[in-house]
Amino acid sequence: MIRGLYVLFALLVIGGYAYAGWTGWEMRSTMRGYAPQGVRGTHAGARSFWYTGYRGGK
Amino acid sequence: MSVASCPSCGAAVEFAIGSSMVVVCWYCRTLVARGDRGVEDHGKVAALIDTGSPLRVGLAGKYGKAGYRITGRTQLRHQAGGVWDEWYALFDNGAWGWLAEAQGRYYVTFPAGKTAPPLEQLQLGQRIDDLVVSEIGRAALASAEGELPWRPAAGAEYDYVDLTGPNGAFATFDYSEDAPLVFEGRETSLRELGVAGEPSHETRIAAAKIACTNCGAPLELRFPDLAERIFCPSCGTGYDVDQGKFRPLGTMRKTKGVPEPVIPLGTTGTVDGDRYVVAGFMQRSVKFDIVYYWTEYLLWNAEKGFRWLVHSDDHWSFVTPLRAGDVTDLGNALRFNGKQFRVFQEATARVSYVLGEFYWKVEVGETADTTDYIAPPEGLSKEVTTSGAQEINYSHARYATPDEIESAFGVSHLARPAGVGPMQPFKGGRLGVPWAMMVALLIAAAIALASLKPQRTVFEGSLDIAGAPPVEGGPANARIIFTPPFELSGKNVAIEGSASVDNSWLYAAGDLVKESTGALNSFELPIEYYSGVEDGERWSEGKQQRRAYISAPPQGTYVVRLEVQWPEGGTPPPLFMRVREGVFRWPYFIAALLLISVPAVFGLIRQASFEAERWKDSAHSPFGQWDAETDEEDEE
Repeated sequence: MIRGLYVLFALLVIGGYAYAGWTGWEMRSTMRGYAPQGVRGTHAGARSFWYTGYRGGK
Repeated sequence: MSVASCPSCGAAVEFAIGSSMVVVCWYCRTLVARGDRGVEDHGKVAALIDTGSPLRVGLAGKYGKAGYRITGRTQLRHQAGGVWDEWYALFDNGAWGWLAEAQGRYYVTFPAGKTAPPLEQLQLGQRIDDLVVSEIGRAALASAEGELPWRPAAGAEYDYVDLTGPNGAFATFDYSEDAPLVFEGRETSLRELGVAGEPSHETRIAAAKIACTNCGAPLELRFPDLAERIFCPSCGTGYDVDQGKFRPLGTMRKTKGVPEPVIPLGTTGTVDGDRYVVAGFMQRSVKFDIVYYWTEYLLWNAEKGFRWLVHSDDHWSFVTPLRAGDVTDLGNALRFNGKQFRVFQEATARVSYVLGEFYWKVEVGETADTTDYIAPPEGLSKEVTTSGAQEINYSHARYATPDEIESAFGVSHLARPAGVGPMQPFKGGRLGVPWAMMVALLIAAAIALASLKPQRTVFEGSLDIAGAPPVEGGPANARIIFTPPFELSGKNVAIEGSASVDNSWLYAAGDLVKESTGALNSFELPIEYYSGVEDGERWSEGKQQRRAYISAPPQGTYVVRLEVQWPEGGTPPPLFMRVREGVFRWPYFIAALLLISVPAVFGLIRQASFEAERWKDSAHSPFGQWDAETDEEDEE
């Protein structure tokens, strides 16, 4: 009984791992969106803001 | 054939077989032996004891390919009180064979033409070739009939040694002659003896039923031919039983704490498909730091013989006797049926209470040296008896739950065990094998993924940040830069950026942009690296390399757009970029491995705890030494 449950659980884990590997799924989501037309033609920021706040770790 | 007159009574006795040496006078039971000068009187034997054997003088059979005829028998009395038959069979080729019958088992042996080792050189358990010395005893000639191939003397006693081996091998060393004889053969059956048509065991003592002379309770023998002793279940009065005749021995004092059988005597039950009657009940004990008691039920089945039910700390086991030769003694372990049993406990077991019927002259105070071995849910027990005949007996035990006993014997409300029994199987599930299988499956899945979705570098190159044109309207320390386009085929993507910053930083906010649609996935590469010396110790923090992973974007042509920023007034180092797809994700593999390992580790801990509980009363515990001497000193 416990063996059966364990095997079922382990198969689910392995199945999840195989699914993630096969589909190329990544756990950490990245921000998705659409770039404006001519994104390659402009040097202006494609983002809604220009990130100026970063000053490094020190 | 030759005919002579009995030297005692004058009756005509017939030597029908040329090689026979003695004929028992049919009239006066004198042993009439052939001598140089005629027949000799070797004394009178007692009347035969009716053992209910299916064999008889004159019976013909076939063993293997050889036909035989039984010509005579002797009855020998064991030191423990029982009687067994030895039948003498003359085979077609003129050879003699011996058919021994004891407690429903049959053995056929033939003279081996060898001389046995001196009796004093033998000890119980000693291995001689494949055979094990299982009994050293002395038999007394009780009676005889027919024609015999040797010269017994009435009332004489003979030393003997029985040896058993694997697959029913059997041998006897016979010390009745000056040069001790060896007989070799094996355990057999009525079917193999070619007399399967005979009843397996005829119960001839039918009227073995009396009222207890002390309390009047009815006493009934379940196996009257084999019974040696019975104790009244009501008052404990004991009786010696001899062929259905009862001789009172006295009454056991019933003291407080004496157990009552939880399965009443006379109850029938089915175990492993065979029906048994509960014939006897005894309490036994061993003394360590405290006296430890358990009870045993003697079960009887006319075909199977005797079995035991052992009840200890509310744990049950079903016990079957074994041949010593089927067990290999490895010192601290026994091997039986391909399985190794570890030694669990050694003790001297003492009978402390008895009720019902027994096949030996059991008595309170009787002791046996026992060693228990376990391989849950099974166990082996070795009992060595050194008083009277020296015997080594092995038995096999199988753990049984109270539910099984209740179902088998129709009893209810048996107490449930609280602790762990020596043979109790671990029900928590042994996950070692499934865990190993699952790990193998996980590794196989990882290898398959790596093969079917191979990693590929789609872009690798150094981006000149400093050489890029400034951002219109943007700060001076920022640039926007693109990689050349590259193809992605629908696998996960790893974008890696590295720059040789030292006590500085370079921040890149990036987008993986699909050129045809403008669909983008944003990511960040915050590269920073600081180091120094403080209080004489070197330190560093941050990384000169960062990596971002993106779930598999649709197949197509992509660019990476980077908005790069660095400290004001500085010069940015080149940014080395690498974009790969189909990246093997070790963290996911390790996470999956941990997930499937945690229950197995948890199960292992539970099992270890269970095993520690099992072995806590053992002197051979693998979890630490149990110190009986300390316990005894404490007691003093």
